[in-house]
Amino acid sequence: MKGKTFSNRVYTNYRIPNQPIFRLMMIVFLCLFMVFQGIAQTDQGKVIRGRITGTDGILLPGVNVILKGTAKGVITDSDGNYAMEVKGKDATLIFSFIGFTPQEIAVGSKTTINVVLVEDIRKIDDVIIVGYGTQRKKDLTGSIARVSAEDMNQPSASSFDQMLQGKVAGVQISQSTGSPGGNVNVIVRGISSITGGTQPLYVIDGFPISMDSGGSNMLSFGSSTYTSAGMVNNIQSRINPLSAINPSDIESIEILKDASSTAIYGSRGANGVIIITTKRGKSEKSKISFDASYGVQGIAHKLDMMNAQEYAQYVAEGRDNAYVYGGGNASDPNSMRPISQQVRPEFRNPSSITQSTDWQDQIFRIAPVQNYQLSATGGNEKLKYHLSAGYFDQQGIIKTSDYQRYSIRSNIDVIISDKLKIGSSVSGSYSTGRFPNTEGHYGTGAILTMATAISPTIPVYDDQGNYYFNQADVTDGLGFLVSPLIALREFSDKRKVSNVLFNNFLEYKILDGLTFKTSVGINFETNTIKLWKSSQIPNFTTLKSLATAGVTKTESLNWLNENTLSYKHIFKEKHSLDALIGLTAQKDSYDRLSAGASNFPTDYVTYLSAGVVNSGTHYVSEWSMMSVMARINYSYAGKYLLTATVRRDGSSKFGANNKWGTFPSVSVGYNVSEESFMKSLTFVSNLKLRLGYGLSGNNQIGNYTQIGLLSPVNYVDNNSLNPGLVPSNLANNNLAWEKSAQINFGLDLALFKDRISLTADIYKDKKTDLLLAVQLPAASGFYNSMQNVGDIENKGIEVGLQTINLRGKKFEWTSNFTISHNENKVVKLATANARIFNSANQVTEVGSPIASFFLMNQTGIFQNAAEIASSPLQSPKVQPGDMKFEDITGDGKITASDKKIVGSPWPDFTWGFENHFTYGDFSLNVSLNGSQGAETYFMGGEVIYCLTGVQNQLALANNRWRSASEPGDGVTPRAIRNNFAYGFGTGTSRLLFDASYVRIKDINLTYNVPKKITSRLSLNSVAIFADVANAFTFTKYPGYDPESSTSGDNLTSAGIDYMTYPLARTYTFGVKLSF
Amino acid sequence: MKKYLLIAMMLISSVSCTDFLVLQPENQISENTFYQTANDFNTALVGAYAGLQDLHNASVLDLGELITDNLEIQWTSPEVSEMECDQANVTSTNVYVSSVWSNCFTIVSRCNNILARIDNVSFDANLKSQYKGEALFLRAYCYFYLVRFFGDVPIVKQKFSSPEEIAAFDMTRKPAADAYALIIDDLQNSATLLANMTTLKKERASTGAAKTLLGKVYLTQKDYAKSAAVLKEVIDLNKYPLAVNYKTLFSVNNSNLGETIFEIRYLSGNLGEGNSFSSLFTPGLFNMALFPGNMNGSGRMDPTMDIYNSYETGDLRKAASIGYPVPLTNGQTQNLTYGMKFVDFTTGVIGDGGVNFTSLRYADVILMYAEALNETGKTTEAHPYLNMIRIRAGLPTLSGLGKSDFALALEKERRVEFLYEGQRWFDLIRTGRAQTVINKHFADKGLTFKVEDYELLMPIPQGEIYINPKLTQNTGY
Repeated sequence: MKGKTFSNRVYTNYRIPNQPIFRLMMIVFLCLFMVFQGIAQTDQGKVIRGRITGTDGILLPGVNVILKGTAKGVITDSDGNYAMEVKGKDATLIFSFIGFTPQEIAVGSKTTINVVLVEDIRKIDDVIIVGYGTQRKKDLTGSIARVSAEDMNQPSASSFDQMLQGKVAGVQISQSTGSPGGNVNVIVRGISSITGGTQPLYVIDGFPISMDSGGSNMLSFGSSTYTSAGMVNNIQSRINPLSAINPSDIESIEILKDASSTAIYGSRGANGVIIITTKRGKSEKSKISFDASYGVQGIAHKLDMMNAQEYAQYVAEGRDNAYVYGGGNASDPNSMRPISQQVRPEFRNPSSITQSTDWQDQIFRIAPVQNYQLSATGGNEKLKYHLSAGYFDQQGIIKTSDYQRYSIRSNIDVIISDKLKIGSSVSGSYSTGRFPNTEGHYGTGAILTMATAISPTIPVYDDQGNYYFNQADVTDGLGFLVSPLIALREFSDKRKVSNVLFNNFLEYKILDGLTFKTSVGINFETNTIKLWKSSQIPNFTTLKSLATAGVTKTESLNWLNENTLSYKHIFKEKHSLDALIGLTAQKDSYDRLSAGASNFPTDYVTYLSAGVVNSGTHYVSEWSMMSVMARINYSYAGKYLLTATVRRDGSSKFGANNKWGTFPSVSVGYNVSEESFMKSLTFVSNLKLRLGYGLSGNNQIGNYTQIGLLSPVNYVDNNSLNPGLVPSNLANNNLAWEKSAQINFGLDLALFKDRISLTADIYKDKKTDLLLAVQLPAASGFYNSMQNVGDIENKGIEVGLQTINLRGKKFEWTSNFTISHNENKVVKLATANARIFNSANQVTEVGSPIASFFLMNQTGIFQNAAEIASSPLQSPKVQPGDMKFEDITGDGKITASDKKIVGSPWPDFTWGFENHFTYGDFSLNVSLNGSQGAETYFMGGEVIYCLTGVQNQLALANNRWRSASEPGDGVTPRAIRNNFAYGFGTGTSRLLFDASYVRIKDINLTYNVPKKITSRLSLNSVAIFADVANAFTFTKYPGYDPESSTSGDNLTSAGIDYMTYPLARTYTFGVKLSF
Repeated sequence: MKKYLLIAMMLISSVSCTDFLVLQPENQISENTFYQTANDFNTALVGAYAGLQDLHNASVLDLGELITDNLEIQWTSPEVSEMECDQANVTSTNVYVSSVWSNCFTIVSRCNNILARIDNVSFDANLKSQYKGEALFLRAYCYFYLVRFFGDVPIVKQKFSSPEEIAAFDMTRKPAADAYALIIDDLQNSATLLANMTTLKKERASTGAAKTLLGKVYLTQKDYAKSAAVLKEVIDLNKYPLAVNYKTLFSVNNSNLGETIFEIRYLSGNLGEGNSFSSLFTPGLFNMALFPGNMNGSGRMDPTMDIYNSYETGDLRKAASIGYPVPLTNGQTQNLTYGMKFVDFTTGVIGDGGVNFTSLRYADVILMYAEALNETGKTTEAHPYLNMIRIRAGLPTLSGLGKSDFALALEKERRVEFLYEGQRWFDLIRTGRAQTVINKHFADKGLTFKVEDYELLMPIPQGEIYINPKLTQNTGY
């Protein structure tokens, strides 16, 4: 009875707020529409006609023809013709087209004006998409980088973020996993939050998408994941949400870096904003393009493990050491020893071992990746379209892993009248992927630790052709519990994501220069996770465990309405004004249903229905926000530029006392090169200084953090669950967004007719009011309360340098070099001495970067008894060959308290260096990128570099301490079974490695088939290419890849590598046709 | 025109945004909508009881038994905190210390929350008394653990609704005597409030449970007369027959047994309601044939040979309490001990045992009563009570012991009777024999570990001192 009334209450709550706002918006919209119709004016004048061509005589469709001083304009049709009504004799027309130098021509008495536009190699006049509008790059005052489609050329990549790596200064991109369709991290100007979201805001064709369902932290994937209830909670997203967007559909990506640019996105701008613009039709001859590529992938770098002989020797040594440690004599026979310290006879004589299995070869494979894209684009002055369909299929280099994406898009623009324009962007994608359990401890069936830790002395198959298994291996703790191939076969994790994004807009030109635009969009996504673990998967020391299965389905719906009014005008020739006001509302609903089952009688049927469904949950979560905003761009004679923005955001996420926040920004620019005194310095083609300051916010703080909540805690009653409820979350009416105040100073410099162009920015970003779990005394009954108390600071410098190194008639060489440095520092936490544990080995403390590594600092290896005696007491049981640690507390004892910060996962600098060569019809692109100074904790080393005499080890362990005369590398301790030394096998600096690298990321050779051949084939253009991705990596990191991070998009525990899915090296061949 | 437009925009932004921006979590209950009916309070109480599962699943046994001569680790790579307990060298960062501290206070706060709200809602007076009585019992139950382990502790009797309220509250440690006063007061009230509730099941508080605990509190305070008096009241209730078969108390399906006075419930079946005893109490052998699916133990709390050998010949409890040797999958055995009590031999999943933990039972009342009588000089009258327990165990009766011999006999009897029941440490502390007994045990094993004077109280969790620097540490830590 109670449940029913409760749900009624919720139902009414749910409905009421929605309806009036919808209705109101509709009413306002209709009113406005009628008003505009009423004020539409007619104008009498003469009609000017003309045809626009390029210098090569080719007709140019889509050229803007604008009456100077107004926003009135037309666009040339597919034959390059235009017709425009002009009043008055002193009118001037401006002809502009992207990639060409604009021309101004006074109309005078002319009625026909034909124009030849000259191609402009100056990228500086590019139009940049800023939030809610565009700006010429020349007029920019903030820090915004643009990457266009032609710069994104890695055909084997499943998502565009991978392609951006190294291309944009100030944006650190890392591929945390090589898993097909897997996570990619994008950090704009340093990690921005401790507990809140760290992701930038992604805006697709004006629609800010919600990334709330992120969380690909595979560190939390453990044995508890395998219970029926664990299956229900296993909701880490494995598929990168951005891979829903087909990279081939993207026209350009703009990255808004500084707060003066992002403040227009208010409470969502603090982590940077990434604006994705998809391809739209132009008024040109219809073109159908077909792109196809096929590639093969292989493991780029296998781990260097001990071979069978080295392994046997190591195991024998470990067992002898353990036995001697316990008081025995190394020469004692097995019969005298406990089972765990017995040594197999053949291990005494390693050279007799003939079996040598490379288990990595068993799990890796050569896998294909293919990508097809069919698109049609074209239009006339009334209707323009871009339609596309894509298929991407990547098999993973680890057996059973794969990812497929089917995508489709229709972008349509219709000019109904010279005042009214409508448009629509519709896209849908469906992705599926299979994700074997690769990361983690072999005890949970994790493939990579299994395949590396397993004894190389056992065969893959037995005589009958079954997977080899010998109980004796298990009993004496030598061989492995089950074959990694069994684990591959017996665990499955299948994901499906369907995503549709609709966004329709209507643009109405009220007056010349005054435009109203309204848009309504919906983004709907469903997500399915199907997990199955058969009874053959081990659970640590238990060989076989109950089969379990789980299914999770999520649905999220996000709708958006935006209304803007923009005004452009040039006063008295020199004062240019571009102003905007807007009102938006957005709401997101997330709904997750999951169920888990166990007690499967067999392993044959892997669906819930075959077992007993005994756990499940239904979770819903919503947020809503409403915003008003305004922006003014003003420039005086193109020399002095000013941009001021303000946004006011109200959000359901904020506490009652802080429902609305205001986010202003102001920035100024000075085009020095426009000054007359610069004219003599002809080698300077552009010099601009920029200075900006803004406030923005981070609202990724949880949807209900401010509300006092109860949580279910079950108890037991008569052999069944008895549900209970307990207070779990304290209310906090003061809860607010995390604030970011950033100052940015930038310089744009171009020399020698733009042969060299440089953009440099220096910034300081103070983040305040970061949301932290303020620890509460346990005696209060609450562990913590989320409060806005923390401060961090990011400051850095970033430089982008584009050069045209050589330019001949046939040969051209251009380069793009970016380098960025960011320094992250925690300024304030809840208390001065607070220490937040981000992971078992990472802390956040005042004065250090977020998530610094906090480890026992190994200072060497004890060489002899005298050294032990003269060192701080570690354990009475320490012997020579054990690790020696620094006594941080200075109390003369080595305990778990002797930890200190020894590094951080954040690089000192990241860079990218791209070289583009063209020779005739050939072009070659070589991209390098790198990262310097970051550290990674190789957690896999807790298993395969632990020296406990059981699992196979990295070949590094061959450099172990064996005796005072064979001290090894001075870092690797002796082998001793069961770690009798209490030598802190985990959480020590021994497993922290420099993750710096230099990577030849991509080499792409393209041949553009000459026109004379293509025209004979009645094709417009044909290009064929060959590409090598992830060609080579130079690094000292001993794991699979220095970028690996098992915590995925959970950046506050980044830099922990628990044997993350390795990156593949991919060779791709492809063709691009258009006709 | 623009003016109108602006006005229109202002209008829509002000009209409906307040509603639009207020969203409640639909799948969760907020504190503002709960605590309305009797059923709500019952649900809140169930949540409070549920906290007992965590408290007893490991930490109370780590600090209450592993630390003593009863149990030891049979695992070669234990966690630091487990090692500290095994070696009676507990430090302020020990996770079991902080777990007991926070678990107890969490339950206390859940009770406080109920007690602070219940009088504002009107419903059936009997039910209200019952819920109040239960909440008071639980609060006392947890404070009793706190005061015994830590001595002086903060005393909290109110609910908190905001971080500001918590900051304003005096969280310093108050004298142990204050905590005892609170415990006694709560238990007395609880016994009264629950006096007429005769149908309550054993996982809920009852007047018998409140009086039994009160008897134990008095005994701990060495207030033997009061202890004897209140325990006698429990005896006179005549509702807790000693189980005929000792083993049934600690095996599957041990809910609501006659001898049980208060039990902590667990449930197997992958529901997240199981306990870890099956894994904790059995050795970490790869090829052990104790559980379905060859589940391994973890060897974290296995009986010492010392306690194995301390059972008298013919003691029926021995086989019900300790398994030896361990059967292996290859048909052989390994000479290791394992626990039998509370171990669910039907589970194949670690952490999913379904045997209830018996926290208070009649045998304890009997032996506590005998102790109280003996300490008040009534040694002769105490003998029959000790013998009741011995008779059930199949042992000969004792007679004619002097006061101190009787005390030692009781100590020994309690040790074997209550193995794995979390009593040993408190028994030894209460009788002042902890150092003597435990240090001798270490010496016998050839180990240099020692319980020092200061170690009779546990350290205040270091993490709590970081959060609240006004908490003082116990001397010696």
